[in-house]
Amino acid sequence: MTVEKADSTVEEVTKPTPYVPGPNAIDVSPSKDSGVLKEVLREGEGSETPQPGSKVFVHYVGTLTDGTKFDSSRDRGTPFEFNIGKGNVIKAWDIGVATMKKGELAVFSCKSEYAYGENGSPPKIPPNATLIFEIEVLDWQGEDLSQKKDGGILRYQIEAGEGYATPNDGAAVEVHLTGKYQDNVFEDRDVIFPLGEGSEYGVCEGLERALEKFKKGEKSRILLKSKYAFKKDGKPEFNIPSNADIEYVVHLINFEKAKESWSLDTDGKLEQAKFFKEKGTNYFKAGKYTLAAKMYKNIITFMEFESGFEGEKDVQRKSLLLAGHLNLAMCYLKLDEHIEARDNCDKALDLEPTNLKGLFRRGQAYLAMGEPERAKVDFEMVLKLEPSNKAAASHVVMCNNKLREQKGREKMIYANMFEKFAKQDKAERSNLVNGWWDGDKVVTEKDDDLVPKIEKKKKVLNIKRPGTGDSNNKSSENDRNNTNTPQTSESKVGDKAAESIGTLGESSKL
Amino acid sequence: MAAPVPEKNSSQFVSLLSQLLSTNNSEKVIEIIQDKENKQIIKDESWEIVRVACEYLTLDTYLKSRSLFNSCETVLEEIARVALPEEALLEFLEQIESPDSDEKFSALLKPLQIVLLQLTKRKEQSLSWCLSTIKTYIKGVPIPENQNLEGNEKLLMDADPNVQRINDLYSRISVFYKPFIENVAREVHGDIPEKEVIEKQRQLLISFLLHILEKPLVYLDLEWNSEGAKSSARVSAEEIVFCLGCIMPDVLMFLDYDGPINESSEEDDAEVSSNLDGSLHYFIREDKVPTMSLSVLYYLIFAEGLLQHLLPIVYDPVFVFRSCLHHASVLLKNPEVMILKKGLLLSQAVIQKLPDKKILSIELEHPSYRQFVDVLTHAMVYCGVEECRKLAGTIFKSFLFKFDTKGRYLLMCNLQKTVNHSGTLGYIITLLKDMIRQEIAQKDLPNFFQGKCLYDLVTGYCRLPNGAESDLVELADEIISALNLLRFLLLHDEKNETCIWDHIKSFEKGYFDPLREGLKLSRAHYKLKLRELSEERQKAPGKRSEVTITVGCQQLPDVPYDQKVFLINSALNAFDLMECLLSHINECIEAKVSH
Repeated sequence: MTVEKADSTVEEVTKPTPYVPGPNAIDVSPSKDSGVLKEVLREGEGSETPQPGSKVFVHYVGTLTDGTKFDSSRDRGTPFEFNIGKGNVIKAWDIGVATMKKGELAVFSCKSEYAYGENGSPPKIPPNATLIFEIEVLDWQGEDLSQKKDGGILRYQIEAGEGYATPNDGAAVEVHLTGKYQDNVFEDRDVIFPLGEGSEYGVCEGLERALEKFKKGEKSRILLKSKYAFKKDGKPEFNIPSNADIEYVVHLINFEKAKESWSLDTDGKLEQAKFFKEKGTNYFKAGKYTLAAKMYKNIITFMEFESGFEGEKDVQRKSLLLAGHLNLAMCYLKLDEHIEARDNCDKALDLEPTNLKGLFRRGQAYLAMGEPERAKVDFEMVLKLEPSNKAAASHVVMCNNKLREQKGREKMIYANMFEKFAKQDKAERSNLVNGWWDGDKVVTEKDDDLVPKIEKKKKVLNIKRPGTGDSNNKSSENDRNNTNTPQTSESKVGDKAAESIGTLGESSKL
Repeated sequence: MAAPVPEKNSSQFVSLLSQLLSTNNSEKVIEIIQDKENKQIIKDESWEIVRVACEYLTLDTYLKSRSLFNSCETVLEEIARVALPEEALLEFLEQIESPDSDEKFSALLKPLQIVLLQLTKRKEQSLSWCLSTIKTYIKGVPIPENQNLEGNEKLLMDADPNVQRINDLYSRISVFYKPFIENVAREVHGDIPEKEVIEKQRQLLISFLLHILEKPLVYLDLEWNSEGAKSSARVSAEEIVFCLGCIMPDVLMFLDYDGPINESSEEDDAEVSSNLDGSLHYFIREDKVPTMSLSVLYYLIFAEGLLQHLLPIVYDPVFVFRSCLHHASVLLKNPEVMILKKGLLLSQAVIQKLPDKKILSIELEHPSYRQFVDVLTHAMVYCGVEECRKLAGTIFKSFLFKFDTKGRYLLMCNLQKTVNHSGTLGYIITLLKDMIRQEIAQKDLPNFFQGKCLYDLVTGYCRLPNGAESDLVELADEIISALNLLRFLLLHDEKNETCIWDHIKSFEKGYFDPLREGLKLSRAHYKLKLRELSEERQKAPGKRSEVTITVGCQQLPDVPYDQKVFLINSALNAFDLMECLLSHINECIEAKVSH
């Protein structure tokens, strides 16, 4: 019956008479600029309209304002199907069809800004053309996110996300989940987890599949068949029986973007860095230091190059970078990786030479590395900057104790050593007949451990010599140079070079 | 009424036929095979008769005694009409699956078609068998070699025996599939009871047509610029695309098709096939849609202008642009020039459709663009045909200018990280200069092209990876372009609107100074080499030159004396050019300072 009705209207529209929106036409464009005018020709059923992402089946006839028909799905004989709200069709369609109910028939008058713009779509659509579409919505389905397209994971969007980026496998996602089974909410929580490891966090497979297709900020209703949810086992603690289909409302609050993403501008990078800082801190508080360190490292990758940052944003960048290094140092201290801890403190202190946390943590690292002298310098610096810092004071005492201990030990070593040297000298003198080189007896017995100890001593002495502050800067400068070299040594291969000579003339012409 | 034929007779019939064929008595063969009296025997003995007749379907018979070959064809066609279709189908399929020659393959297509059209049961399964056999056969045909043909040279392709063979097979196949297409096209519109069967056939045929649109057709020349004769391959391609247009509900339905599903995840075919409501679902399965086939389809639609009357005019232009660039990238990845060129033409066509500077920067989030730029810049440098390299360069330029200011800025920032070929970088820097020129000409200079943003962007392109010791010959292209760019900025922005003058000290310290130093070193090095060469020549004029030259960390292979001198001189020229540019820049700076 509907078909007949539709046919009769087709004839009306295909007459080459210009369409003029009637008095009942309403402006459905979001900015109310009369860009998309809608006139309902036949009401549809119910009150539901297709949600963004749904696959919609329509019949349509498109005409220019002078009545010339340029396209018609009815002429092709098959309904046209498309995913709504994804920018796959002209804006007027995404806006217009989203207002239609099942079975509804309406005429839309679409200004060129909502259609093919100043270029038109040659040869049929001239530049700046207003288009008239008569559209009949036949049906729609929720968007099927399952790989097999078996209807096991259906998405109904509530709020659209932004941009195009979706989380990659392994990317950290921050989501809010509300799970429902037969109208009973069984869980309602915020969770952060790396995509692909959802099972560790009680996030079922189907939700992960769905999240791969989510954009930032998106909120959607997800219907899951049991095989993508809790399967045969069900979930007794939530009162979910076996083989039960469930429903979720999922909000993707934020996620880790691929670092190579081309559209990341400075704001995007700052946002990512903040995201990781927060996540790192959560992990740190939970005692998951390795994970926390991973998060803090991400801050550094996003923030380390100043390119593009300016003014206030550069200040923000620096403070995030500083926090990244400091927190990373803290994680490394907890993980007993003292060299890394020191290096990160060095970097933090490059950014802010009087940073108390940086100095303190480097002191801790040195202390743990058995270098109380360097540690003491750092702790004393903290005290100088903040005389009331009790922790620093107590660490200075610790350093002093360590130093005294060390000195005592050294004293013993040297005492022994001098004694031995004296003995040796005597022995050598008595053997002088054979010459000093003939000293097989001179070799010190049972003092194998002497050599390393002397080495150590030397190290300590060496370190004393250059000015303390300077030495740090120097070493970090060296670090930077070192990190630079691998990049620079990555030279191009010869054949490319030969090519470049060949194309020289050409490219400069271009 | 013929008397019932005794059993003995039937074997006699086969041996008689066999004898007649061996003595090449075509007339008699046709006579007995068309004799209504023998109908029952033919029906009973179809298996044997097919076997006997097929023995003569060889290239040899085809060349030496065409009439015998033709009479065998008649025998097979007669069997197709008379025998039980289900049985005959299996007999023919068995024969066509092991073809010894194109002749046998082609001769069997006709009887197969007759049988298939007669079938009443299990139509789509039988069709599916036949189509997949044909598909396999045609994909196994050897392809013409990559000959890097330029311009009109590609007309020679039609003379290549491999190409002729492919063309031949395609025209035979088209005769085979056409009736099925017509059938489906006719009935898909009507409301007939066996809608599901037709639907299934439609999907099979779409998949089949897409398959044969790919290999080996993609290796052939499908271009036609509305003058001159169409290549045979183009004719076949048009036929296939036209048929697709007849049976696809929307020829653009695969625009955002993103590959088959991952088969590694748990198998449950039954479930999938039971769920064939949406037309796309069928094609999600692996091997239903070969990726390159879509690229060829969209190449033919957008670059060659086929099926224009069937395109739904509701798709968003940017969506079409993005999707087609993805399909173009698939072609551009291929080293075969015939394939790569199609990618270039497809991307050119969709890029031309959009106005400049309108695409929003957020689009860049889509990985398609990155992929496209990667393969396009690669083609710009490494494609074997100069025409294509140049075309790629032009396309690259117009692509960049399609984006809004922020998009262009982001592209330029990211390109310096992804591209590492000096010539390409040189070209990109030249484009950056064009971009900045346009921006400066505007009244309100956008934030992205001034101040720190601009400085960061420009310094990114002023690369001296090893400071003064960088290989200036290898980097020559980008250095010259970068110097040109800086000179342009200093000359055209005397009022310091871009704030480039605020950073002049950093440029001096980070780029000009090490470059000057590097020029001194490199010049001395190459002059020394030149002297070594001439000394060597004086000492032993006829001897092979042994002086080594190293460019980009690699020693040049053994090249003759003249070429070495030429290389060194061109390097010295490049140094001159750099020095000249440097001194121009210096003049600008000094003039500014003295003011």
